[in-house]
Formats: sequence, C-alpha cells, structure tokens
Amino acid sequence: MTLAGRIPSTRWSLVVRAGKISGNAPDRQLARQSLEELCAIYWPALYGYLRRRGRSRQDAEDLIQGFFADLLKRDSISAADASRGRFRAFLYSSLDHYAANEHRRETAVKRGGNTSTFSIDAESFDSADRSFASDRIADHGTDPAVLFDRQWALCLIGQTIAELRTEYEAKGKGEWFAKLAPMLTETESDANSRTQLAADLGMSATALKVAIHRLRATYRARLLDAVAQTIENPDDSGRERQCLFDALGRHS
Amino acid sequence: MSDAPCPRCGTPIPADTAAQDSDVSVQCPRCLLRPPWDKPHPVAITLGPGQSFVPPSIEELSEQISGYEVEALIGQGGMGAVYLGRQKSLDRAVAIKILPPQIAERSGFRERFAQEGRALAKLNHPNIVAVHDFGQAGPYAMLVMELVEGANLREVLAQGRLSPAEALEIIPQLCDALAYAHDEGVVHRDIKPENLLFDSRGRLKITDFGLAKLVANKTANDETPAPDPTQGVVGTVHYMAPEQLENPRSVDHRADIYALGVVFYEMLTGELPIGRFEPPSQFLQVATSEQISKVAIDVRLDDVVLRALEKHPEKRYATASAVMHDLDEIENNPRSTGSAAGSPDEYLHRVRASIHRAGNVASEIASTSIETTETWISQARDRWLTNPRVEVPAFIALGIAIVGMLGTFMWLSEPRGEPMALLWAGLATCLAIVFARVSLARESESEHPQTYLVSRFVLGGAYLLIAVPILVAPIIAAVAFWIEIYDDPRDIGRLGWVRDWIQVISTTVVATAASWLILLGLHAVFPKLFSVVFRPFVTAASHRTAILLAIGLVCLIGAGVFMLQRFPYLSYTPGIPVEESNWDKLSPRDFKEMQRELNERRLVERSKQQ
Repeated sequence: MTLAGRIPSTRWSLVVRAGKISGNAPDRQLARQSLEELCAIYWPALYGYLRRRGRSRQDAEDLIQGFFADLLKRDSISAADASRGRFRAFLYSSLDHYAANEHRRETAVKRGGNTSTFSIDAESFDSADRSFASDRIADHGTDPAVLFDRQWALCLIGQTIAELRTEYEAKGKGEWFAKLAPMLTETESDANSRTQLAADLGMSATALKVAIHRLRATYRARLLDAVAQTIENPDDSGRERQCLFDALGRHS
Repeated sequence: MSDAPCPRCGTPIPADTAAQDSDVSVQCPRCLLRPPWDKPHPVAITLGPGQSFVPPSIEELSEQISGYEVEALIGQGGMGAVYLGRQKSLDRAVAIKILPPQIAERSGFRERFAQEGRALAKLNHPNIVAVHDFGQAGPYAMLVMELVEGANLREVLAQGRLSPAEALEIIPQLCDALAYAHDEGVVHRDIKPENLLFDSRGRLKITDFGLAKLVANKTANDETPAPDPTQGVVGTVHYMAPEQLENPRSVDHRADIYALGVVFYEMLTGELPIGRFEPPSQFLQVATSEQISKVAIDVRLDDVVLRALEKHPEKRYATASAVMHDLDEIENNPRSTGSAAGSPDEYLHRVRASIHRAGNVASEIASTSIETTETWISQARDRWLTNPRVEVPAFIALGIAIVGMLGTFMWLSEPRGEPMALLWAGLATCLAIVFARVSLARESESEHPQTYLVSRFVLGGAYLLIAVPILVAPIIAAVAFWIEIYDDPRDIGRLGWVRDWIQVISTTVVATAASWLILLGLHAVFPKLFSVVFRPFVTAASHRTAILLAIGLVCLIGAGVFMLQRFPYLSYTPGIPVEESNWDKLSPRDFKEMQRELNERRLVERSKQQ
C-alpha cells in the first residue's frame, strides 16, 4: 500500500491521486480498492444519516446500494469532487447530489441490475438497524450536515473499536478487551473497581495500569490512523478529528 | 434527544451509538473520539547537550546500522532517541537508543563509551533493562537494549496517584535494582518516572542506567573551569539531588537515593516535593478535604520519604538497601491506615499523626527562631534595630536585669548586705518586667507582628523569680511549721524516725497541694489573672486540664491526710507514764519531754534511796 514508503499515503489520498494524475493500471487498481474499503467502512454512516433524515429502511438500502454502485463504476474520482481533501465531505456532497437525481438515475441504472462488486447484505442492514433506538429514528430538527458528521463519527469510533477488538482477540486476549474497554474514557479511577478488575484478570495493580495504558495508546493510534485514512493530507487529521468532535457536541 | 448525559463531558450520549458492542456502547462517543486522557502531560526533560537533536528518519538510520532492522521511532528525550528495532541474527525485537552526534563526536567520548558500555552491559538484574550491544552507527553512538513493551511510570501516574500498596509494590524493586547497580559501581544519575518502565506483567525495569554520566559534558580530569555553572549538569531538574546541581562531578550513589525519594513522593501524592512540601500523609489529609479519593498513608512512610529527600547526602539513607529495610519493617508490622474508621488502631494512628505534627511544629519553630535570629543579626548589621519601638524597651529591660543581677550578687558578698541585695533584686525585677511588658505590648500592636526573643527572655527570668517562690513557699512553710510544733524529726535509724518522716512529708504534701489547689482555683475562676500577670507565657487553662490537675491535687491531699491518720502521734500528758512499746508513737518533742521526765524521776528515786 505504501508508495516506496516515502510519500505518506492514506486510502483517500490514493483515490485522489488516481483521479488527478492519469496514472497507470496498478495505481488505478489500488485507488479503486482503497475506495471500496472506505465505502465498506463508512456505509453505516450514510445509512444512519438517511434513516435520520426520514427515509424508510427499504428506501435507504436502495439508495446506498445504488449510490455506491454508481461511485465505483466511475473510472476515477474527478479532481473537483475531491477538492476539499476529505472523504467525508466528498461523500456528503455526492450523496446529496445522487439523492436529488435519484429518479433519473433509477431509470438509467435499474435497481440491482448493475455489476458492481460492492454489495451489502440484508444481515448487515439488520445489525445497523438494531443500533437505532426504535422509537424516534427521524430527526428533522438538526442541520443535515451535522447529522451526517455525527453518524460519521459514530461509525469511525465503532470501526476503530471493532478493529481493536479483532486485534486483541487474535492475540487471545478477547476477555481482556471486553473488561478493559470501559476504561477507554474513564478518568477518575475508583480504586475498588480497579482492584476487582485486576483480580478478575489475574494481574497486579501495576500490570493493570500498564494494560490500560497500552489499550489507550493503541486505541488512540488506530483512531488517528482511521481519521487519517479519510483525508488526503495527513497533517489535516487533527482538524478532521476536531470537526467530528464538535459535531458530536452540537445537540439540539 | 432524551439520552443520558455523559458524566464527564455532559454531552447527551445518543442511544444509537454506532458501536454495536454492548461493552463499549455505554461510553460517550465524544469522549471516545477525544478521550479525557488524550492531552499532553508534563514530561520531565533531562538537561543535557542533546536538546536540539533532530532524530534521523528510519531510513537514514537503517543505512547506518547493520545487523538490525529499524522499524519505528518510539521515543525521544534530552539524551537521544529510541527506535523499535529487530535484531536480524536472533530475530528478536529490541530497542535501539542513539545518542546525538554532538555527544558522540566529543574528544575522548569513544573511549569512555567503550568503557562505560562494558560496565552497563554487565548489569544483569531483573529490574534493569539489559544492554545487549553498543557501538557506533555512523555519527551516532548506539546502544541496543532489551525492549520493554509496557508503560513508563509517567504514563502509569497519568492514570492517577498510586495507592500506598501500589507504591510499595514498586519501590522495593527500585531499591533492589539500585542497590545491585551501586554495588557494581554504577550510579544511574537520572532516576525519574520516564526512566522507570513496566513490562506487561507490571514488573519494574529501569532504563538509561549510567547514561547521564556518559553524556555529561566534561570528563572528570578536565581541568578547564566551566564558565557556566550548569555546564556539565546532566539530569532532570526536579529529580536531581542538590549536590548534583551544585557539583555534578562529585555525585555518588546517594544522588540516586534522593531521586528515589522524589519518585516515591510523587507516586504517593502525584506532586513533586518542591519548596516547603507536606509529608505524604499530611498532603493527603489536605487533599481528602478537597474530595479526592481517600487513602490514608502510614506516617512511617513519611519518615522514609523525608529521609531519602534530605538535602545533605550524609543525612540521607546511605544505601538503597537501607530504604528497603525500613519499608520491609513497615510492611511486616502493618498498622491501620485509617480504612477501618473508628477502630482503636485508627485512634492510635491519629495520635501518631498528631505527635508527628507536633514534632513538625516544634522543628518549624526551632528553624524559624534560628532564621529570625539570623535575619535579626544580619539586619542589625545594616541598621542596628529592625523595630526600635519594640526593641529599645526590650534591651532596656535586659540591661536592667543584668545590672540588677550583678548588683544583687555584689550586695550578697558584702557583710550584712542581704536586705540591700533583696531590695536591689526586687527593684530590678519590677523595672525589667515593666520595660519588657512595654516591648511586648508594642510588639502585638505593630502592623507586622514579629516575635522578639529579648523581651521574652527577660520576662521568663523575672517570672521565674516570682513564680518559683510562690510555688515553693508552701513546702518550706509546712516543714518549718511542723518543726515548730513537733521539733526536729529524728535522724534515720533512731526510734520513731519513720513516723516522723511520714508525718513531715504528708503534712508538706497536704499543705502544698492545698495551696496549689487554691492557685488553680483562682486561675480557673479568674482566668485573666495569671495570664495578664505572666503574659505571654501563661494562657487560660482548658477545663479538661484544670479538672485533671484538680483531681490530682485532691488525690494528693487525700493521700496525705490518710497517712497522717494512719500514723498519728500518741498524745502525751506530762506526768502520765507511757509504756515502752508505745515510745515510737510519740512525737519528737513529747519523746524528749518524756525522756527528760523519766530522767528526773530516776534522779529523784536515786536521791530517795540514798
């Protein structure tokens, strides 16, 4: 994935580069693969956004399948589309654009008739659905852009934690992760609960603190990496994270 | 949205958190995105010549090193940079530390590095990061070390202060490692939380042993005087022993013990012992009142910490094993640390704490009085007197007292000079008291009350002259009175001497205790009386003290009266003979009288016979 290890490259920067420069076939292949991976990670954000905007499940499913099919069918992302340097901003504007022209596209593409490799099965939608509070899905009061960003942030965090869990489970430390994950945001340590936790995991108090530190440090690295994957210039990752942080704070 | 707010940031936690995991979903996504702990923490930077060092990139370094793959930069400090590496031959992960070129290129460095490197590589202890290899990598001096995947103490402390139990899990390991290294002749010189690592099992691993000395600017035999006093200082300011800052060349292992004290203090309190700091147990008492989680610290730990932190190396623990010994003592004799509220142990603990505090206060008073004297002397040199309004009468009082004393002695040496001596002493005492009291009154009036010792000194002496006779008078009076009635008590061993002495002592005790009781009663009823007369030494007594004292005196009186009744004198009427077995029950005067009569009678009988 790295370009000779010299140019720091993120998935989104690969996509953008392929669009800007008329590169060779392997580059294009890499760009397409990166875009697919990004879409696989962030479709729940789009789905959640559409549902919050009041779309029915069927409607949202169709829209997303169609949107991604359309996106991936394109040979490359045009430079203009990616001008903002952020995958999130790109998807937001593209999705809006696509939804607006939904009817026209529907007739042209024929629902489900395309040959895209990208597909989301019903089970995934089921699980995405389960994460909503069933009563009040639609939220018309909030600015759509904030709504989108918020869904995006939730998706980013979920993805990071899932990745971390897989990593711990691969090392045979699934139980550790389950027990330590609540410590990710904890600040004031309750001595008793910590003692209990250390006893549960069969480790000393100091070892527990080391384990928590390792988990936090890894989580932070994965989170920053996940953010960086969606932007063109890694230097912007701080700003991107701040933007998502602000979106989560703005509650009506 | 009707979601519960996050207890940390106050933002409502949306119910549709995309993380579909039961264990994580309860956490606030905002806090997960920017966790509360994700903020820069203060880091102790080692002073040294490598401050402006920009570490080489992984590729640059890879070109310089053979036998190792360089994988990532994992740390950077005042003494170089640390990379994650892999030793190709053994296929093991290692930490590669490089020292900046400005150090490696110094004259004589290579030889010292080779020498020291060998010494470091010999250190083989479970709590010391092992040095596998060392050498040159292009312009850099390189150390290959055991890789510790865990956290350093700074990172552990970021999760909150350690409990005493946790600290006592760590400190013995530190002591053990230091004792070992010191025995091997290696001083660390830069013990600080950043250099104390923990592996995944929580075991301590000290890193960077001896590096500070290696990096130090000057070699020991370098004669050129340093223009900048801090030149040659390598270490971390708050963890450096005073002598390490003043004279970096003469540092020995006791500097490590000082740093150990700082680290210990920081573990227990979360703060650095800077300036006039509280001992750990006191610190927490202050902290607990501010609603911080309550953990009591054994006051005995204070002693260990404070002794390790002594400014003078001679007063410090001489060895790390001595620290360990004291900690073992504490662990083997556990005292309640106050967790069981209301237990007698807790009371004991409190009493110990109060004693400790009293000791602190006393030493503080001593030190401040020494300080005041010192400042007073130094100021007097500049301006003679700091506060003439207060000090002039005090010195006059002192002068009168001295003159009075000399005069009294002079009159005493004259024949029949006693009345004059008494007069002289009384006059001088009164005048001295008056002037000293004037000084005292002015002192309390002044805007910046400051304690002057001269007036107190004079007053103390004068009051003793007055108070001692008052207190002693009943004793003398009682004995004199008794002798007046019963005549001199008989010498030890003579018939009836025990009864005499019991009588004398009991009478004296009763009389003295009674008069003291009256004084006490006066003081209790008119609390101002004595406190005004004997200002500033006497204050109103608390009820408790007064009652306790009164009970004690009453007991004494009771005991005296009991003894008097138990061993009474037989009443003697002249003319009526007393049986010989009862002679010891007569008072000395009666006994003499009886003997005299007996003698007279015998004389009469003898003359009749003749």
